[in-house]
Amino acid sequence: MKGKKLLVIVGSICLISLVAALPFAASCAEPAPEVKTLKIGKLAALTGFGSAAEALCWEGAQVAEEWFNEQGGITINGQQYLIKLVVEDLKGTADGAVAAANKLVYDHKVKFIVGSVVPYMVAAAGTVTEPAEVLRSVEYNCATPAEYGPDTPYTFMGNDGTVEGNTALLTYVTETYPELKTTVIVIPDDGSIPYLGPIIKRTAEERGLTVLGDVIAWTHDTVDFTPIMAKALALGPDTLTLINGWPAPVGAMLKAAREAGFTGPVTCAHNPCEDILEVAGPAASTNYFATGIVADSPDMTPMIKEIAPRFIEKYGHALYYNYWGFNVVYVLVNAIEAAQSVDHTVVRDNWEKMKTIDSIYGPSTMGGLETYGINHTVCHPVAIQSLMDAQVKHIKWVEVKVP
Amino acid sequence: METAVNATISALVLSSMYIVVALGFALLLSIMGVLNFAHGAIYMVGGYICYQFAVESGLNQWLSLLLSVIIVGSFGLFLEKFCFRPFLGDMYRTIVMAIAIILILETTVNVLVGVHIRSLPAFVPGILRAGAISLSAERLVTFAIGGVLLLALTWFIRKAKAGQQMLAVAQDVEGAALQGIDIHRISALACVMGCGLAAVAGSLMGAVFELSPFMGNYMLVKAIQLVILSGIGSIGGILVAGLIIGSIDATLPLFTSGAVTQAIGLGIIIVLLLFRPQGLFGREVA
Repeated sequence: MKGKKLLVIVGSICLISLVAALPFAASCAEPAPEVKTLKIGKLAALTGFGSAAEALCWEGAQVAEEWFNEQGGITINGQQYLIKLVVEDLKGTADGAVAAANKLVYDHKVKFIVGSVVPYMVAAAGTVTEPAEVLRSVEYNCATPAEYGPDTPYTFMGNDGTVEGNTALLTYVTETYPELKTTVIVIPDDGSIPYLGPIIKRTAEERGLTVLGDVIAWTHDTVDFTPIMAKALALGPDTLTLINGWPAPVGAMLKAAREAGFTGPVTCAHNPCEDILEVAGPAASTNYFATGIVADSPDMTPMIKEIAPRFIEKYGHALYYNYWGFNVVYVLVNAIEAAQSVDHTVVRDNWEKMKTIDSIYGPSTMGGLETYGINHTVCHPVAIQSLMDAQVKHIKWVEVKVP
Repeated sequence: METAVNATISALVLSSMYIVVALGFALLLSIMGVLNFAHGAIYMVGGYICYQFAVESGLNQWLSLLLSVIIVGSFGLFLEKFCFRPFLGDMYRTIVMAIAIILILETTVNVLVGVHIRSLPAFVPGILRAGAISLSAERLVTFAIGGVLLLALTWFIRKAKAGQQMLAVAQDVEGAALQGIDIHRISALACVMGCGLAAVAGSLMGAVFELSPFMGNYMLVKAIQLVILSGIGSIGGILVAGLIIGSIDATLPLFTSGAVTQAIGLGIIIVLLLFRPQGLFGREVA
């Protein structure tokens, strides 16, 4: 009896001690790894000049953020990072771009930025981001040294720029229509002509086209393009090569050219056919070629087929510039993960040496050293589309390698 | 030769477009002495309202134009009573009020409609060709409407009782009031007509060019150029000023680059004003 009592007492003490020790045992176990946040700045003209495209790029970037985080973010040296985008409005002006860049760099303290599109805003933001050594993946460039070149060692081109897109377009048009012998080049008078003019002329001539006359310039506040087109058509070209601009002026130029009786092909990269159709109207919308995404084409990449429904679900549309905004985030985050570092200089040094990098348009290579003086261009396949009798159609993908 | 002929036609058509836009602005300035900087924004809203009825609701496009004129013209009543009347005679406050209206209208349209490109279908589709000359039917109709509106407005000001009352108010507000003219009623009528004309212009231009929340800014500058060149108080002078500025804008780009065109065009206006500061048909202020 005495032994039994002793056994119960000892057993109770052990049980109580065990229960009391449990919380301490739990705290001694290895803690779950903390998920960190990788903050990426987004520069976009949400208001003012350029907002027609850049607001759509911001939509695309947000879908990219969601897409990455649904996959669990990225893992750098065993540490998980979720992506967090912080946007600042460029307000469509150079001053606005500087202010926005300052906020991202010094208030939000980001070391990676995506965007923007409009050249003078890209250049203006670079005056802040480059000295601060913030890595940028921009959506576009017009080949001016202030935007992108040896003086911008922390800037990368995530999407096809003027040269890449128009190279793809001229390649397709001259291969498909070998009877075309002459062209006129029309470029906005925004400071890019001295740089773009010679490159596009050389690109056209390498593909068998004779460029007639000098580059014809127009200002961004031009409303009536009839005189501009009259000047171009007076030279008697077989085809019109429109470089840059937005859908509004490009559509107006197509409309003016057709109203003047010109029936030859008109090309303009980065001004997708559905927007041109809206401006030019069905009667003028024919024999026009552009670069752009036709989401329901079976020839689209798996990534585009995956993200197009997400755009439609979230915003009610899947427009060309949505893909731009998605892609610059996609390539940047891929580059960070490939470098296995969140140090912006390490990522930069690794990215420019990468042999291949994935983009939403397919496998891409790095290029641009000869053309821009810096090997920071993501050379990805470019989708060509046509507008014939007011019908938009995907034609093919063209590989572009910018030396 | 072909280029010269097409340039001439382009000049006439462009002039008529500018005249249509400037008429409403000139009317308000002449009658009420109000520099309505919001004229461009009102012109833009007129275009979008026409688009909403014609494209989104599927109504007949001419009916949509009429509805846009009625709605925007009615907005003119609100503008006159609550935005301009309290500040009549105070130019600075009127300008601030106009700027506020611009910001409110542009931002509202930008938020509601978004940044997508839109364009009205042609009111009259088709292209007219005669030899080397080709002209869209749309532009020809715009030219015709511009001419008709200008003639109608000129007749109204000179012959109609309300028009004569407007002239009286424009010449001397106190004298007109002493003659028994209801100043506020005449001002409201001028504002309704000015806004209605802006709606017509916005709808027509939305078909010839395209619609954007900021489309009014460029046309406002053209309207101001026309009014300054023609002279404050001169409705008929708008015709001559419109022809001058339209011709400059249609022909200079053939010979120079875009930026130089703007500079030369403004330079010509400045030179003209140096010799005649009151404008081509304006009256000198003592």
